[in-house]
Amino acid sequence: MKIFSFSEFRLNSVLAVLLVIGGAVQAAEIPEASKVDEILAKHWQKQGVTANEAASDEVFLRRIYVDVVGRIPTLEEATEFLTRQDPGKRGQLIDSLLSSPGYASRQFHFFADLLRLLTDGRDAIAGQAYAEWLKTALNENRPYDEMVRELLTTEGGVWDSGAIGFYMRDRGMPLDHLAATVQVFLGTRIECAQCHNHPFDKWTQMDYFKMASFTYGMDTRGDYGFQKKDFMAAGKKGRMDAETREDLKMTKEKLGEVMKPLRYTQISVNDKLPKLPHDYQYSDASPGDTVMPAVMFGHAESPESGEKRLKVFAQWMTSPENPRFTTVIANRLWKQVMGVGLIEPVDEMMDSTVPVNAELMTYLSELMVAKDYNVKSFLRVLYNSDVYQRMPSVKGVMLGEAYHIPGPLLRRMSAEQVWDSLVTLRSGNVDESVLEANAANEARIAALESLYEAVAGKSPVEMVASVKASSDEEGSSTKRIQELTKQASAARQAGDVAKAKALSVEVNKLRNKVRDEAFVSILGEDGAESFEREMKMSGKKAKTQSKPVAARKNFPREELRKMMAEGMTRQQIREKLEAEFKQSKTSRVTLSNLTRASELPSPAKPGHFLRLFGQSDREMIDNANKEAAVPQALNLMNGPMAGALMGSDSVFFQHVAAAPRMEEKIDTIYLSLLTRKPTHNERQVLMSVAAERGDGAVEDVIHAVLNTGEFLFVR
Amino acid sequence: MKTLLNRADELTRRAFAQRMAKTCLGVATAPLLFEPRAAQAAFEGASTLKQVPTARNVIYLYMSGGMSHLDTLNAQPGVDEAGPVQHLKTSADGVLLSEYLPKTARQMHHATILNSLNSTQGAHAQGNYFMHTSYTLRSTIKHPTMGAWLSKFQGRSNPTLPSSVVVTNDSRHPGAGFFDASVAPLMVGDPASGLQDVKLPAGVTQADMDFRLNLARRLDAGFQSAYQYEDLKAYPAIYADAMGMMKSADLKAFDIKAESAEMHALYGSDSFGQGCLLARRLVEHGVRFVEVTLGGWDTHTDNFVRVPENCAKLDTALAALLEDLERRGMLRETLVVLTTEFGRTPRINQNEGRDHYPKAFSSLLAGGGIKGGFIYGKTDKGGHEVAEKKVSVPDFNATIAYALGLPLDAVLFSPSKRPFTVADKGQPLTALFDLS
Repeated sequence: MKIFSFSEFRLNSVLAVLLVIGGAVQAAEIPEASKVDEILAKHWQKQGVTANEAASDEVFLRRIYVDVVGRIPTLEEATEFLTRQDPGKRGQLIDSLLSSPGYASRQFHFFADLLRLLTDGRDAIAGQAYAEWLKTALNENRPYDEMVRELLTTEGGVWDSGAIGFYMRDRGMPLDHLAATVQVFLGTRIECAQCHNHPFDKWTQMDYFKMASFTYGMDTRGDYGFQKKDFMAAGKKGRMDAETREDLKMTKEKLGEVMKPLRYTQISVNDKLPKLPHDYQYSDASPGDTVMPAVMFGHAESPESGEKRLKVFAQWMTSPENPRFTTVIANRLWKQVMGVGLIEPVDEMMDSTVPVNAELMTYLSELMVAKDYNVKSFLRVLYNSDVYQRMPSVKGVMLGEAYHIPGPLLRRMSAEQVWDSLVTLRSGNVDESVLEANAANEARIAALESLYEAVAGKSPVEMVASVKASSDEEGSSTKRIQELTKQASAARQAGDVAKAKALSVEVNKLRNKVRDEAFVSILGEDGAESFEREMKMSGKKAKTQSKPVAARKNFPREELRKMMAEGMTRQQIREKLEAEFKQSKTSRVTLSNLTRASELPSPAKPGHFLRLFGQSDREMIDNANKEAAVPQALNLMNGPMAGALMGSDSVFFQHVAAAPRMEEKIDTIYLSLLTRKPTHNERQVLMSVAAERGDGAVEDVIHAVLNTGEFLFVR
Repeated sequence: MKTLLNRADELTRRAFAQRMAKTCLGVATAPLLFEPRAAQAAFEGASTLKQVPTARNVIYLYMSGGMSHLDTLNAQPGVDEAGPVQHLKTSADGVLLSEYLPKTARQMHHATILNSLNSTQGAHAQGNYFMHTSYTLRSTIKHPTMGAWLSKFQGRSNPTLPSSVVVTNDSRHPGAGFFDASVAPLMVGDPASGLQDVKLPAGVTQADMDFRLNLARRLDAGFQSAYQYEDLKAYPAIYADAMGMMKSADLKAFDIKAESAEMHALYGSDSFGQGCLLARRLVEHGVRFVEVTLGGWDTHTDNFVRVPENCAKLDTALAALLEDLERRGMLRETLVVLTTEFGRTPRINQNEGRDHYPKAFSSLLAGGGIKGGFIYGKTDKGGHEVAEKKVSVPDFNATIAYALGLPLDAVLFSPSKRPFTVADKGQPLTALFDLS
């Protein structure tokens, strides 16, 4: 996965040049960043707004880490930056963070939330391939317009490209998918127009169907590999004797079973066009009319072939001339960096929409085009701007209120940022995990491809022959299954549950055997065996510990000593631990995989830490939230994460333990959790805690700081 | 965009508060609701869209995967389509049930069977979503489920507990839909392990925790006063709520270990039975809508082996629930719903299985003002087509909403400004309600 693309190469060479210039580089010396500040300075003057104070190194440090790599800095990273005397250090840090793997891990969630990317469920294979495709694209820093074109036009099997996940996401719902596409890439809502003319905007139902017509040919049902039509045709060719007909029927049934794994793994383009619904009520056309493609604004051709239609659509969509495509991504990224968009909401643009500062919005769009849609380069300009490096505004923005950007907004870390920060505190920097390939899924995809290849090349006649070759014995198996099933229901009727169960187990075994035989007939003995093996590795990587050891691991040593001092026997302690462990059954799930959120299922299961803190369910576009909720407080107080931070194998806890005296311990806690040293007053309070609470003080302080707003929010 | 939503919301809330103030003021006065309604002029002449609630709570049992109607509620003696399944007489005259549900058969005097449901959705995700929301699955919007509508209109009845709970492992549950998180049902994966993170961590006493949170408040005071942001201010409030919940006497509602061994045995030791037991405890403590899921109904193969296995779990838990609610005097105010996304083909396929069949299927309602021993709607012989009184999925949901007294015609707007009502345009089946 670690392939350097041209664009990253470009950025790296820029970086190298910058490093040579070294100390001379100052934030505002990037001309595009200066231009942003210049426009804003005019804006402030006109609006009578005073810019916020400049941010201290501590505030900048914490913010830039969370924004670029999605987590707070480690103790070493913080100490290194804060102690270094170098006027160019902020610019250098921005560049080094942008070229670190944490960047792809952090941006993954931004795009996964927009694209509603799912890696679990029935289409898990395609979903996981889609996630890998996205991570690779982000890591290689592929231009945004190119990524979008690829999403809009890629067809084929999941073994060809993970980008097919884009259409697979809304399998069987091409009309809905179009509405989502327009909302994500053009920031425009047209879903109402699927059923009637848009009540608040200008879009008609006809506009909607014309747009949908471009992508309607993307068939997400797949043909399961074999040529279904040929097969049917062969069956119909008259004058077929009964035996052949029987063979064909049997082959079809069996293939259905064998081809099942290929479901939801392919899309193909056809020339189909949508028809107006039966209740179409406007006078410009009649219900049932076929609709030819046409774009909702601007101009584009209306080609005959489905494949060409997609190309035309993608070109039109991503053209720098398209007035919304560039504005939408520039505005979404500005919001990501500053906390609020120049246009709000970011995805309800209309002709009457006016940005809070039109000159800046125009400039950012031009900048995006000038950077060839290189997202890293674009973000680099914003991070280097003077406005970004100011203190957050003291007051939040009310809904509908214009924000004149005197600095960024204070914001709560996203669910992923909180999780990744805590994981890093406990395990140290694990950002590189995003570069690891999903080997299990790749193996499954390779197995599927070999199945597809084995079937796709065969004619119906060959297919019948090879299935039939394995069938002689199978005929009797089928009869046996029927017989056993009858016996099972008879046994159950007679009240013999045990016998019924045993018989049904037998039936299942036989059924699997029949299926296996069919696989062998298609893939050969070895092929079938390796297919089964790969498909069974269903991508579940880490296993949870099932012994009470897991509980002991997260159990503070002090606590153990205390219990022993209280005279508890080892047996009593073990019983207590086991009880704790049983009770924390759900906790095991939440702690089972301490890696970056980008490497966990998307979305995480309900009840997972990430979901408690508002991770998107990936059902709706841009659906993450940062609202406070009771389960978050419960988790940070009582949950396994807090315990894990204070366990002896926590890197953070080891740092605290290694600090010689209470003063240093307090500094370590503050630097690690809040990226700053405590103030004089805080130090006094904490020293009095130490005096009052003795040995337990360290855990008291850690637990308290973890449960502050300052920990969850980023200035 | 929020302003419009809030405005629409507010009107409804105000209108509703006026009504609620008249009819029910919190938990304490609730029993008044369920006094015999002879004086209340029944339903004649009243709009079918508004009514006095007949049910305070709902326990919603969802059979995920598509429960075969012929092998459960729509027992059809002597037809080929029934396969090997025999039928049973029940505690209600003239009501038959599949032999797979012998315990439930003894409770049928409490229940109404609907045999004429019809859905337009034949795939699992779509059918499940439609049944839960009354709207078809879209990728541009997520609609709220009944529990969320209930809390939206009527708020919580126990301030320290959520107003609705869903016991399921399905992460696709539509939950609060486009409503805000405050009305989202609480998701419980494993009924036996109770609520997540409400117990103090090992070795930490309540006094320790109080000390730590107190210290956190002191350390955070400067930060809190430096910034005026709604989302930051919300945190001290949720910590107070969290502490309230941890110390709440009602937290024991989530602890089914407090139930006797007999109770556990009555409901069954499997996850579904335990979920039903949890549902009863939660309702007792003021949670008003509890859903429990039982999966495994997608019987494309070996229907006559797998359906009876699943029915054994369902039968034990459902019969226990009805019996237990009745004994505690709670059945009158608690509507028990048994439903699924669709039925299964009357024709038995080559794998001794049945496939998806939305055309005609069955559900059951009991308690909460519903007639006992009653059958509504009919299919033809063999369960292929609805022959009488077709019930759409929105009609079915409108009936549940009607029982809860939710305003079926109140329009609320999604954030994208589209209008929605609690059961789309479904009409409640008023004939199901017992007027005596």
